[in-house]
Amino acid sequence: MSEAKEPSASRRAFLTTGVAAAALVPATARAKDDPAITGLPSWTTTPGEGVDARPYGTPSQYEKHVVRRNVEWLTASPVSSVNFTPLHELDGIITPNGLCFERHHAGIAEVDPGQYRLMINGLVDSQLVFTLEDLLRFPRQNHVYFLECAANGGMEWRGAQLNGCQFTHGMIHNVMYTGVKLSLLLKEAGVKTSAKWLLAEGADASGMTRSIPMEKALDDCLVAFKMNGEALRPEQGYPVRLVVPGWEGNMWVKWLRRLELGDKPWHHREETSKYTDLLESGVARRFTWEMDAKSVITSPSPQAPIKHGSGPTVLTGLAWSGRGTIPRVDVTLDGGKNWVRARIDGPSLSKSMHRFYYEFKWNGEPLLLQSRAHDSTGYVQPTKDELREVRGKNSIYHNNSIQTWHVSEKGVVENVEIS
Amino acid sequence: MSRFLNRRSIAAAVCVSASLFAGWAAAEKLGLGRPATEAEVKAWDIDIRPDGKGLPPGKGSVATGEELYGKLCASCHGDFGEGVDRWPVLAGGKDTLKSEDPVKTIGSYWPYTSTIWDYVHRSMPFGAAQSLSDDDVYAITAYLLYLNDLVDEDFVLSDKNFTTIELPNKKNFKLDDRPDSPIFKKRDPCMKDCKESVKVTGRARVLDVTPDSGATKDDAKAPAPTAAADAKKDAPKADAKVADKPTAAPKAAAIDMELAKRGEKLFRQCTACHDAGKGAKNKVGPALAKIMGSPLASVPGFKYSKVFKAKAAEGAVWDSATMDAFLKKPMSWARGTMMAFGGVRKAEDRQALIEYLKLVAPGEPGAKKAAAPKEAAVVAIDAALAERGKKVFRACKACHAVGKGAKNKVGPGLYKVLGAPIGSVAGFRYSKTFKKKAAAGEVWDAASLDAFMAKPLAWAKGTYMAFGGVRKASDRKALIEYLKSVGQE
Ligand code: HEC
Ligand code: HEC
Repeated sequence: MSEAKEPSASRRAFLTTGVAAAALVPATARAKDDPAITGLPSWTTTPGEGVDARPYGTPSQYEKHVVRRNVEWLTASPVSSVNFTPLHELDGIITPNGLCFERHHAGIAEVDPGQYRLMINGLVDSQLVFTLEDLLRFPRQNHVYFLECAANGGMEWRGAQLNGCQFTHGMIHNVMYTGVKLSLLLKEAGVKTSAKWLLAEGADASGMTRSIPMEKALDDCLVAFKMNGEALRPEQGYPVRLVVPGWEGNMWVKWLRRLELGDKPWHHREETSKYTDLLESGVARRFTWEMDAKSVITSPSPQAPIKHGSGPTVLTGLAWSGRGTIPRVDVTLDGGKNWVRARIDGPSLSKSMHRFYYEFKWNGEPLLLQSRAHDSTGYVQPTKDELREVRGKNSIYHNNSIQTWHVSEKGVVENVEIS
Repeated sequence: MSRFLNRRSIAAAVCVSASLFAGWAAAEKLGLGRPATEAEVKAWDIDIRPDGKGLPPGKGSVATGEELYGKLCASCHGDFGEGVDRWPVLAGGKDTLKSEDPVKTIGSYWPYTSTIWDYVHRSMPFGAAQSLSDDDVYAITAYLLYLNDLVDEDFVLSDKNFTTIELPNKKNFKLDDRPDSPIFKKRDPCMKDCKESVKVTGRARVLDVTPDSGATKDDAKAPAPTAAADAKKDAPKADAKVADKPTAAPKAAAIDMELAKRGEKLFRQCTACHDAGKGAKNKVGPALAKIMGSPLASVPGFKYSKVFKAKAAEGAVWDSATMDAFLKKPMSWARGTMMAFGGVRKAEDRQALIEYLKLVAPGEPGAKKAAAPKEAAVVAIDAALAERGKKVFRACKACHAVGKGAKNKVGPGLYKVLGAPIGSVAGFRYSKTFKKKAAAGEVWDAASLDAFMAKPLAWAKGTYMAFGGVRKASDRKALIEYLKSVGQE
């Protein structure tokens, strides 16, 4: 990167932010004295708040913009709506509890834990009721899993629409759950051999229900009461939610109140009217539970433009698969002409988000960024066109296609589609 | 888990320690929980299956269903199930599943009748779930079938004939066969020189539907390349001008040329649909020749949407305030407007546009604001606070319509609430507790509203307003300001 080639217009743009301006000064040049160093800031001279000021800590006052956001025009009422995780502001693989996206069908139920009950009924030897204390006496497990809404990216089938990975990919979070294996609770009730399906039901005013096949229920589902170490947040189903690893988020019933065993699926609203994938032929797929492998570059992205000008740049993103781990992520800077392997850093856990990085020297040229996930089954994330070829544009759910970001000379990033 | 298994095997092998590990050894079952009573299971097990399992005895006619639906459902789903605003559509959509814009309704998409019964019973009406009797649900289900042309008007649905009613789209569902698609073939994708050229074929900014606050810091949201970037560079200058001249504002006629010039640039995004200035012609949108100060929907020869005509009938006039509100969110300011445009987000951009329109499309001098004299009598409203209150009010929208002539929905229509007697909206069926308060002559003032909003169910035990309350005092204050402002515009 040569200084001279830097277009002056973009220089001026960067000068508007002081930090960026400083970054442009070559290391060898003589720098002006920085008042951030020569002037003592108040936090160096004066003690701050004491330990009783923040009994439940919140982020720095300078991080106020890092919040979940909704897209108002999407739904008629915020009580039945969705907001989005600010992926562009996060790093690592864990989503902080207060930033996990929310999707409610009738608002946040505020369940009194003292009155919490979980019922198991239907095809079991004995129909049982558990209190929260009862659940805490079963052996527990800890697992990190992503929860992705099947409609994540649903607004993008027809073309690039929303400018920011918070909105294109933010219906996902990744959390360490503590809970009891569902199979243990079911054993406690004694599952009859005729039981092939489980109905999970929520206690909220939508009475959310989903049918889950017995094999999955007995495999890795959890009845969870903790997220990232603390009690579930009300908006995530306090005090108890179902965890259905790798499968669409709608099935992870919050405020879980009942598990019924039956010999057939129930075909309720959320598995007929919703969460069925309409194909071009007019036929719809039902019971499309697994989340296909997917990835997205979270920075640079429209809400996280490059502000530092040319030079060393960190590209980072997330990848996940409902079928296992992510052994490999490829990244392209030129719209798919050439690809390189990104570096995956941090834990690689099955059905969990993976964090990847690619460090490069940006020379100020426009870029077309994409990432492509490979999962442990050998599945490779498809392009938008490949996916539309087999799905059409009307299926709303399960859009796991490759995302493209255009980076301008000025470092401004836009959601685009390319040939 | 593995530790648990170990213990168990140890316990099995070493008999001596068996008592120590008694709990674990019996681990097939821990003996936790207690048996559910019959009444408990009955209370919670409300699910219905396509084969009719779970259906309680009962029946209901289309005619009864129509009455119930009109009272409880039509405010959101429309008289014919067509859906008001963005509330779900329940009827119609026949033969649209293969089209560009499929309309998925009970008649066009749903596979099973049982889903209607189950869902309406557990979840509707929105805001008062599980308030319907079994017979009500039979009747409403019958009516929804009728709205979808699936039964006749004299049809009566019951647990006896329930499973004979099949929905037309039942056959058009298949199981998940994604793994059979070519995408699932193992691939070793190309890494080098994979294609010769790449073209941008679509961009998000064209649609401009991303929420405003999505970008966080100033330039994160820098507008699209070149042209718009220029506008941005100019922006600070123009802004400074406006701020410098607060005294210029009262002399309304004076045009801030600098600002208008900026407006002209911004107007480029409108020219696809609008011609502006003297001699402008109607295009996709009406000609903007004399717009500022003119009544709504008054451009000759242009076919306006219903909502515009309705607003015109109410005497609405284009002034800076109405234009600003409209430009900010065309589709929500005028629900059903044909102006399919996302809106101009920045207040200063809208100001510039309005300045430009004042310059090139001033109205007839005689066409004075109809509302002007009324404004004098108005109680002072903190507009910013009211605006915040409007946002908070989103939590109430599910149940309340606001404004003059607002329809009763789940809750009463709210108009000029402050100062009104409690429970006085015509045609609304209030709870006993509200009726009592009404009989006692209680009136809504800021204090009673604040108390009610804080904890509806505690303030009025037995109220029908099934709503948890607004926790923050500052939110309640904003809400009250908003409710105040509603009767005053
Ligand atoms: C206050 C507005 C409101 C009222 C009143 C209302 N609904 Fe709804 N209805 C909704 C909303 C919102 C949803 C979607 C809920 C969600 O997000 O899960 C819905 C969903 C539905 C659906 C499912 C639609 C689909 O395509 O999946 C049916 C059926 C339905 N309502 C029937 C009724 C009936 C019958 C009544 C009257 C007894 C009623 N509703 C009253 C707001 C309302
Ligand atoms: C779940 C539906 C629902 C929601 C949400 C809701 N309301 Fe209500 N509201 C009602 C009902 C029903 C009544 C009538 C109360 C009664 O009869 O007991 C009511 C009554 C009222 C009244 C009294 C009107 C009168 O005529 O006396 C006011 C004021 C009011 N609500 C404001 C609000 C505000 C402000 C919010 C949001 C913070 C809100 N409501 C949220 C259903 C709702």
